[in-house]
Amino acid sequence: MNLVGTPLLALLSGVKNKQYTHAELHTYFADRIRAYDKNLNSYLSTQKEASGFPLAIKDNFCTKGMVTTASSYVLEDFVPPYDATVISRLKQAEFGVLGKTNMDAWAHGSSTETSDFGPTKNPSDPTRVAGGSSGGSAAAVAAYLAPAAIGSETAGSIRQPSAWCGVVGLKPTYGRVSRYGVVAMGSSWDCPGPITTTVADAAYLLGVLAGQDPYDATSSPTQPEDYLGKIESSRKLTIGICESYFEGLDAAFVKPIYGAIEEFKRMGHTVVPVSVLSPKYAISVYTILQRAEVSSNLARYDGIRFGRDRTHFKAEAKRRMMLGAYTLSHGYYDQYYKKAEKVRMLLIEDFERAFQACDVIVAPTTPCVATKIGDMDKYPFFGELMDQMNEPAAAAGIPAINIPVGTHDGMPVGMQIMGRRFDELGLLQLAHAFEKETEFFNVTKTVMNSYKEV
Amino acid sequence: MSHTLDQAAIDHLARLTQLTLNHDEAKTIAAQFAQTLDYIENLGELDTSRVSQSTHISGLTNVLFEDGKKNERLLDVSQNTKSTDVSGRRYFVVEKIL
Repeated sequence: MNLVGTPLLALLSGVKNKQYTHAELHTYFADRIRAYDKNLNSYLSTQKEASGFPLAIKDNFCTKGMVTTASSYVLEDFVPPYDATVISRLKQAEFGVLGKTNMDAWAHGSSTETSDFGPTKNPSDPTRVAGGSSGGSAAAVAAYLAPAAIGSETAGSIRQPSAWCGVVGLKPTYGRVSRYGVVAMGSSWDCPGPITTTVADAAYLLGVLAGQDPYDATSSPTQPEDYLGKIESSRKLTIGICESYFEGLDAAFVKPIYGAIEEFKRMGHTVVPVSVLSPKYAISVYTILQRAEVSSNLARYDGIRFGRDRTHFKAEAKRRMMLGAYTLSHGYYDQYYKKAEKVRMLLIEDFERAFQACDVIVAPTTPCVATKIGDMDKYPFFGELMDQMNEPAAAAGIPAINIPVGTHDGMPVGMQIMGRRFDELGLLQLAHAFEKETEFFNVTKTVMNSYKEV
Repeated sequence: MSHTLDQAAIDHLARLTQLTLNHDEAKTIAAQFAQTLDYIENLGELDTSRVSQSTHISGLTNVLFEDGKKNERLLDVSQNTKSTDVSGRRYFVVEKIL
């Protein structure tokens, strides 16, 4: 079969038209994984047999009867007795698990270098990281070792690896997709979402995943839209640009972003400057609140009921749990936790105010292209730095999508579009129109050209 | 303002989180803590006197499981104890504490 780069929706049509079966597709991708993944390390485990249309799933989604590690030795042998709601919804919609993808351990990181099972390499340049924490999912899609993948984002973990690997990554509104059965990181932040090669594929998968779940009390009763059915739109939007997201960035790196903004103007959209709080405040809010939630969420791993004991935690998880315990401690709670919760409210209000003057806000997804493997240790604040453009939207719980807009130094550059709460449709429509105009300047196709048929 | 955390504070946090640290880890974490605490001081630049603490991001309140509705996700005892070393005995075993 000659399928490299065929989008998910086209493959689904192929199955419907009996061009190929789930089993044949499973074998096709399993062969590609065997050929290429020894080097990339995007998968932690794969399924021997097809159980539906093959999809790659980040290894922090509980899969019944299938090891779920969250890339940590603590859970190396953990076989969940139930499926996450995301998985059960996918299974009801004919999908099956092709394999479980690598990630930063416990999703703590921005490069997959904190994975206990080795980093995932970037398909564009294996001396560089894939980004994280959903690095395995993004790399698998970019090298076409899966037709699409499911990732999860707390603050950047879908958008940032998607930007660094040159694919589409959608972080939905907090509460749009159920968190039930996802290995919890920051419970007031976590959002599952799709990573795909096309915007239409992301719209389709969001339609499968979205909706209220009685088993996740934080999931929203707001009705999902027909994301795929309504994806075509000629509506002209007002697009906000916030200069504070561009401050200090390399001029050559941001050139493709400004190029994409010019493309939006050419398409008839209006571009206006908007002012929102500097991402530096969202970094602090995230650092305090996420660590606090981590210290609580990871307290459950005692090795008694499942998994191994706490001696198996590595440096990053230890650092985060301890900082969380510190900021929640008596005497520091008001100074840190309470203050951060208030600033989070300011961030929410700040976006609401900005969205009165524009429909969406666009910005770089990352401050630079994918870093070299090992560079993480050179930056004391690596994760926070690499996710700095992602943290404001994550803190405010609004949706955002990464799309490829060009390259710099031969590496993909991503732009994010942030929107109003529950306006995933608006983001998808704009991103889809941009894709039709530009085909993402062949960024995704160029990456896949290095991963020919086997 | 520069923060510092002494060994006793690090030991206390390790105890609170039930973690064991070797000497190098404790040293690294103390240094990283100081950097992080210095950075997050920037929240002091913002006036938060007029806002309340955020709770749920989209404002949901009092979400309860419907009375009388069957919990279809409930796991039975054998499913719950399957992941432990004492599989088949239908209970969890903990270390003796007295």
